[in-house]
Amino acid sequence: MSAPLTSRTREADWLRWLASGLALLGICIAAYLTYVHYDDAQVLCTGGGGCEKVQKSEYSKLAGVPVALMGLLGYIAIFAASWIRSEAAALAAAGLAIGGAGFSYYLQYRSFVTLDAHCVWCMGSAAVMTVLALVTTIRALRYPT
Amino acid sequence: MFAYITCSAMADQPSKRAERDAARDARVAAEQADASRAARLRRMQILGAVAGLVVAAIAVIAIATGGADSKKPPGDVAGVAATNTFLRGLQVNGDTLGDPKAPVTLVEYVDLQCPICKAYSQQVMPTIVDEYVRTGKVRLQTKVVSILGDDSTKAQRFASGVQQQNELPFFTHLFFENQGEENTGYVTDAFLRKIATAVPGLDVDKVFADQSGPAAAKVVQAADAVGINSTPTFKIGTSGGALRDINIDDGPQAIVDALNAATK
Repeated sequence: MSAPLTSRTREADWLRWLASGLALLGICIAAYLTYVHYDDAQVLCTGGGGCEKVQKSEYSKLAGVPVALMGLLGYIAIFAASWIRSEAAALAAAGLAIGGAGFSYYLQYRSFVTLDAHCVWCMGSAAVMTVLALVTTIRALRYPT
Repeated sequence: MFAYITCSAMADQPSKRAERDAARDARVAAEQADASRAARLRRMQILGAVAGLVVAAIAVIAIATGGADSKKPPGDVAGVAATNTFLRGLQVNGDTLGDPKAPVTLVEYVDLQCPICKAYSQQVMPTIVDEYVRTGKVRLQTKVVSILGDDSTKAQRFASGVQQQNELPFFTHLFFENQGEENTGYVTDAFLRKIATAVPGLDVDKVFADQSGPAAAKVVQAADAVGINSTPTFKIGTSGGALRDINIDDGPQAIVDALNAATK
């Protein structure tokens, strides 16, 4: 009996570390985009101005709040929830990540279709949030505590 | 015989207890498994509900921010589709259209009220952009100047605000498509807002705020400092190097000739 339990514990820990690492990566991306937004600095970007265009477009804010800041707060909350051992925290992390991923897809649609611009930072954040949604969902369903 | 039966009965006792224990363990395990399955199902339902709420929230946001692009373009702004086609897929950095590392730079000085500039924008520049800018040979810089009057000055200042959001090429092309009669006072805030609203992704309120800022003032000063007195004026040169004037008195072929010479 102890071998499977140990294996499950290892898997749960591994998922927690993976979620934390991804959230940390997301925090870095979102923090940079938030800094650029408030500092009015030029975004380091491949693809000639796509990031700048997206960052300065009307879709860079929602109800007056920069979406980069929303992302930053979301990643921080997911990171914190990953380290709280409770079912509610695991569900909250998964819910936030699912919400974040959905919102990221909407922003990617605006970026590619409406603005015809490609922002690698935004694509990176969407990719991180997608994997984070998968990891936190698996964790919430299989190892909620 | 009695002793045998007794011994046999005594031997059966632990076995039955073990069976009962095993049955109880199995029942407990089954109950735990059921409880675990139920808990997992409940968590799945919660996350499913969250996913549903997310989809609903995104639908509301999409509708509130213009749905499937229904907000743009406004019906009374001409040339939005043509401008989209003209610029699709091209990089924009400030006033520069095309690959920022292109070896040759073509600079176009325009007054947004100038009808000849409009003709060049509609009839000449699309070909030049397709053949030289889209192919990465040339980067095109647009400098908005003001030589015709107050309407030009107002449009130039607004364009400098648009440039902060990397939408200058779209805006100038669209302005020309909707150009009014020279110096009739048609370049009002309402007119500029109407044109700007048709530019995808442009934060129009921010443009109105930025046009009075130091970055916009710097753009205007730099363009005016060149001392342009007729538009359009074209200059060409190696990127980062000195630029020379292109004489277009005999028509736009001079631009093509200069481009061919510079890119061969």
